[in-house]
Amino acid sequence: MSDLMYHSEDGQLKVIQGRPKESSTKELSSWKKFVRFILPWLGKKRELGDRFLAAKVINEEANAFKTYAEGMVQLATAKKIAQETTAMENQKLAAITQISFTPADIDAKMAEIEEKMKLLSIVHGGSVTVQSNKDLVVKNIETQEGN
Amino acid sequence: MTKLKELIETGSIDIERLANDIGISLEHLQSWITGTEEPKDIDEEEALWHALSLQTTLKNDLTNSSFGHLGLWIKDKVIIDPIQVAKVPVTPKYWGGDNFQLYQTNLNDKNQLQFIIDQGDASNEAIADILSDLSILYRMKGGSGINFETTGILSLANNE
Repeated sequence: MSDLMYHSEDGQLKVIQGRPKESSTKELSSWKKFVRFILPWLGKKRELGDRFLAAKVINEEANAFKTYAEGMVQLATAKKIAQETTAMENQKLAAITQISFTPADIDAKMAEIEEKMKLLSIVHGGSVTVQSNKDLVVKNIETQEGN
Repeated sequence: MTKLKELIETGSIDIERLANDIGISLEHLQSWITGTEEPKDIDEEEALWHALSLQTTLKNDLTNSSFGHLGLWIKDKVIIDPIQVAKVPVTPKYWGGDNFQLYQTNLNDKNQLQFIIDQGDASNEAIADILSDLSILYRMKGGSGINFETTGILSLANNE
């Protein structure tokens, strides 16, 4: 099989859902714009897409884990990441003094994220990919099987 | 007159901003629009694709069939609008080519994104660093930040 499948030691992918922190009408509008913005931007990171093509992706949520213990370890790790994310964001927010941001600020942040993603990919063999919902994976499997 | 030109004239697209976002001169962009020139490489195509995605006023035109009449080469690449193109299967080249069809569904109802994380040998902190930056990016674009919740584990099957 393609070595594309085995960037990570266990071949497992953690799925973390992101929602806006608030739910006002104004927030929903901002979120929609952000989704339209981020999907093409992160979606173009094709590595995971290629890997989907190279390998079947199994949704183990319904299919049970390889072993219960392995699954629980993975899930616990994913939860730690989510918790760590919140803590890290709070630290970063505390260090930000600006109250408004220019397009240049946003571009700089995007460049910073891209650099971190490159590092993740090149040094650690990992990736972060965004999709709109689970159907993306499922549809891809259907497409592969149909070909 | 291309549809893109119409959109520019009606103010749906700020052409100066578009050129600035792409990083080319206004004259250069106009040559693309009129068809006298085309992007010279994938980087320029990608820059245009990205710049258009930032112009949210395009959303209605990006998603109706007339977008295909823009006369540009981007029609098969740009259309990733989860709200407007709910029923349209698209094939963004960056998702792996013709066999990988990205079906956007109605995000209006879901209001969620899913982040698929292949951790590799990176630390939890390294992943959290990226996710927290994405949340801050959302704040910088006027949002309230992103709540991240674990929803499951996927596995790439071993066919050996």
